Amino acid sequence: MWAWRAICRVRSYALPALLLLLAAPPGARAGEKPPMTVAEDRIFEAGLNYPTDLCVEGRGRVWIVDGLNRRLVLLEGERGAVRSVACDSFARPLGLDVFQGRIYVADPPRHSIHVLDTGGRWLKEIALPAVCDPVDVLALEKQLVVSDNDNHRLLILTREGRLVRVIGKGAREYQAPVSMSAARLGAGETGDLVGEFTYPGLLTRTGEGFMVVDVLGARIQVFSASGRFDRLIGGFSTDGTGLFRPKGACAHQGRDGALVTDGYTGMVCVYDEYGDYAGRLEREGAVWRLEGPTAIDREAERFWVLDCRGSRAHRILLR
Amino acid sequence: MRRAILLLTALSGLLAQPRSAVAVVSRAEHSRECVMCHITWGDGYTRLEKDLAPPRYDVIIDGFRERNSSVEMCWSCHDGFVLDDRETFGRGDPHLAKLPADHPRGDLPLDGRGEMYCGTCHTPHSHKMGRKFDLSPFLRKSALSSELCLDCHADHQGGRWNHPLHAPMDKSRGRELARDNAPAGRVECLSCHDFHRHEPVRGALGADRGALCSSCHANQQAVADTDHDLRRAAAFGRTATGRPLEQGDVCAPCHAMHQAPAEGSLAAGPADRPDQGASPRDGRCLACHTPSGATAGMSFDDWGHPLGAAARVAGDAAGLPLSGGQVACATCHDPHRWSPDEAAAGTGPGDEEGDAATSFLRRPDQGGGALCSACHATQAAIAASDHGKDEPAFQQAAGVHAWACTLCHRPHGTAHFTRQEGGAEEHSPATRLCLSCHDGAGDRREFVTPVGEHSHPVGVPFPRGGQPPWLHPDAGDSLSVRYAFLAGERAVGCESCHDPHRWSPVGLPWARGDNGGEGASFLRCDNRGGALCLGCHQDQAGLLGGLHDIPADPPGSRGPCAACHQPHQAVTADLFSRALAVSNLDSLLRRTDWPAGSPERQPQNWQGAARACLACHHSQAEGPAPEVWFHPVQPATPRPVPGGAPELKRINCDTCHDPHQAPGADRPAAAVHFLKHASAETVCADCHQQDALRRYAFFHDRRRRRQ
Repeated sequence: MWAWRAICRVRSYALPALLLLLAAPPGARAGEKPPMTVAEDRIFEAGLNYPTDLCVEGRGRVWIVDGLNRRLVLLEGERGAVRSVACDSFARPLGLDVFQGRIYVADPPRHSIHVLDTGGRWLKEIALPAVCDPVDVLALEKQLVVSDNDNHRLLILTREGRLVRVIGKGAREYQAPVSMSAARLGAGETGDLVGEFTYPGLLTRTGEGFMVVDVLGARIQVFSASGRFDRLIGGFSTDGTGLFRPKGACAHQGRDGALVTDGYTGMVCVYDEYGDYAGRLEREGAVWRLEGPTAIDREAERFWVLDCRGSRAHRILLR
Repeated sequence: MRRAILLLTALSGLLAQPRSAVAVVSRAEHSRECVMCHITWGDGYTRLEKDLAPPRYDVIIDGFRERNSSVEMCWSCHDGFVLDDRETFGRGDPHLAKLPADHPRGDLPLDGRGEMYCGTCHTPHSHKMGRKFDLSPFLRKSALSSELCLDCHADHQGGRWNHPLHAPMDKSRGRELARDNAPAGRVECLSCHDFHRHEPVRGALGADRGALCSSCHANQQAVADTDHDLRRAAAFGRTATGRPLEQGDVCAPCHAMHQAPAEGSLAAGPADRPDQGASPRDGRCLACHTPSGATAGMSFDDWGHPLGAAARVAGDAAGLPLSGGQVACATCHDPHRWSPDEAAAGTGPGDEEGDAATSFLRRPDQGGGALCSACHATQAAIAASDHGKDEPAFQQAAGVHAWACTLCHRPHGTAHFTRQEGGAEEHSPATRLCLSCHDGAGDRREFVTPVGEHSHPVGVPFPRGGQPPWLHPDAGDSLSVRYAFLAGERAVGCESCHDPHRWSPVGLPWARGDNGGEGASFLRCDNRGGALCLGCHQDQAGLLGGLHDIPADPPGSRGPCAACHQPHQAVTADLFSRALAVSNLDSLLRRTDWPAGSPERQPQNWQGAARACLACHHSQAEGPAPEVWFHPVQPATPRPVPGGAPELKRINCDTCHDPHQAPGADRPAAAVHFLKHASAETVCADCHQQDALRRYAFFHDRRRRRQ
């Protein structure tokens, strides 16, 4: 029986692999391109204490979640002038997103999403059931995506906080948005299949959808704006050619390439437009390594990488 | 061949793409779940290792150098994206440190350099089916029951010198602590401590434990800003654990939670007072409250209330705390509260002088002496007496306007009592106290009955060197009197006969202005049967039932001794009663039919006991009493008499008679006439030789005597 299953398994992979091999242009394999190097690295400390997420608003403004200090930090301009936005409503926020003049902050201890304007004024709080563990939030055109970490699922909400869809093991789509209380969400389960998660973490906007870091699944899952699974990026590895504890991801090359931070190795892995491992960021001939990076985001030609354990933010220029 | 190579290449390319949760085979048969932490077991790890930073801890498992259980691995999940322990990591962890060589280690693992690391206390493998829930979060031993902590800190439990562990916690008081860390409602290490904080205790700001302690000990926080808020007392110097005082909190000057030198988590003071029976617990008080201490004006010395004495009232019956069943400073005082009055508990700082309503007393001692009487219940009877709070004369005599036990007593010493002006140096302290008012001097005469010129002697040894039976320790009588005996003060004092706290030993009612009788008058025992007097004067017990046991009128109004004697305000030094001839001799002699000019009519010839005898034995006396006669004054030949009587200088009544004598089995004939000796042994023959018998027989017969 086990032999038959092995054969079937090989067969299920063999055909797509062969097509992939033939379709891939020469030079697309890992290691065939020269490594991406960090040409410029500017560090911002700003009194941060284990910051966890950042988001580039644009116009030279970058927001950082400084959760242990119960505040957001805004870095402005080329020199990164610091502005602190404290909020009494924060418990210990973890993730954020900035979209269309609104800041969305995920606050796991309060099981809620805070909404502020980009001037730093607190507007409202979207309460989630106590079972939920919202570690990050992402705003789309009409909806919010919430990473429900402990329950291994994504919650798709309306801007008003009504549940539209649950992505993960036991996924569910509602005919019409329902209130969170009516949805009666219970605890979720881990899953290994596509569209399932083992501790989903940070969310990042892509051209037409969003990507989710599946932390203990050790992979990045990409979804369309409607919540349909699109593709995987990366996978578990202990030989340096994959991910061990992915924490943050952002698009970098065309519409499909990605940079992925690894919270254990401290490295930033490069994935090409096909989702293949394409190396690690290097600097001066060595691997560019941080203490414990989490979020990463793109600002035009530069990238912002948050070193959570190092309590600082890096603005890097790649070559 | 070419197609086969292509297919092989494709397959190898496929397997290199870790697109899903494909199990990764490690150096042995470990699954991916193992490799999630045991990264060194993963395939190709050696290629990755050269690019990794060296781990902080040198973790060695089964002889292999590992990276799991080190901070870096734990942080990779506990940064908030699997579990949120940012506060733990963000504030540093005092437990992640090298263990001193002499520190107890228990059986928890350390890293290769002897340092504690995450894996010292935690292991994911503890979370197995059937394991106790309280091993969460992945602990090697239970933290909720303190088992984990005690593995290294075993000396922080047990004995009387550590804060109680595993003791029931009042959830209503330790609400926050109970909710967070003591679900079973017990005091455990986690009730006060947080593993991963630099702060010594939970909820503490810096070294200030006040907020934590007050979670359960809210009442004790009233100590802040009182005279016992020793943060302000520079003279005290250091906390109970030896830190500079400014680094401590309101509790720290006196208390140490672990390995404290004294019971009650108290640090003993420099003055351990074994001479007073003081426990080390009291030592903390006496460190300051000693004549050489920081509060010399409020010191406790050798004369103070006994410390370490067995309490008179067992257990908590008195509602006052004991220390091992013994009286301690804290029995009467609550050092945390200036006043037992709730509203004034936390006041009283600075130079405010304490009184019986404040002074850190557990109960106010105003008016009724409520504090003292909790143990000294017998003495509470003082309230209804001439010494009571309702007797203004007592207060006026004492020169005070508020009654309290402290009118007479000094609980903290410098002397036994507040007043010592009366009597002589050699007298007992109690006697000097009594005589301070009852000496009849000055204005006090108006309020207080003086003992008078002729009073029962004090300061003299008890008869036969013994102690009266009612003062025997087993008799349960006054401690203070017994104390005098035990201290070697075997002399008669006021306290020998009187208990100043109790008007009547038999419960006779007291009324203002009542002069009392022998069933009252603060006597130690009912003397209406002569028990008090005869307790010492046992040789006079023969009086009872004899002719000289003169019935009282009305019956029971006095005892047998009082027919002739009164111990105070007597007319003579022999303590004869004012009512007898001793006080109106001239008048009595005029009423007799003795011839004028006869020796019998001369008052000066009636001396000593003869004057008292004359009261009943004169010529006009009613009843059977024989008439007394005066023997001419002549020198008598000294002759020893049984009993060692002094040399006779004058022939008097007591030359031959003992009025207390009663018929006895050994000499029934002599006893009939209260004779000291049988007729054959009389001293008459010394002078009258052969005529002695006639003279002896008719001495009291007027007619025949004159023949």
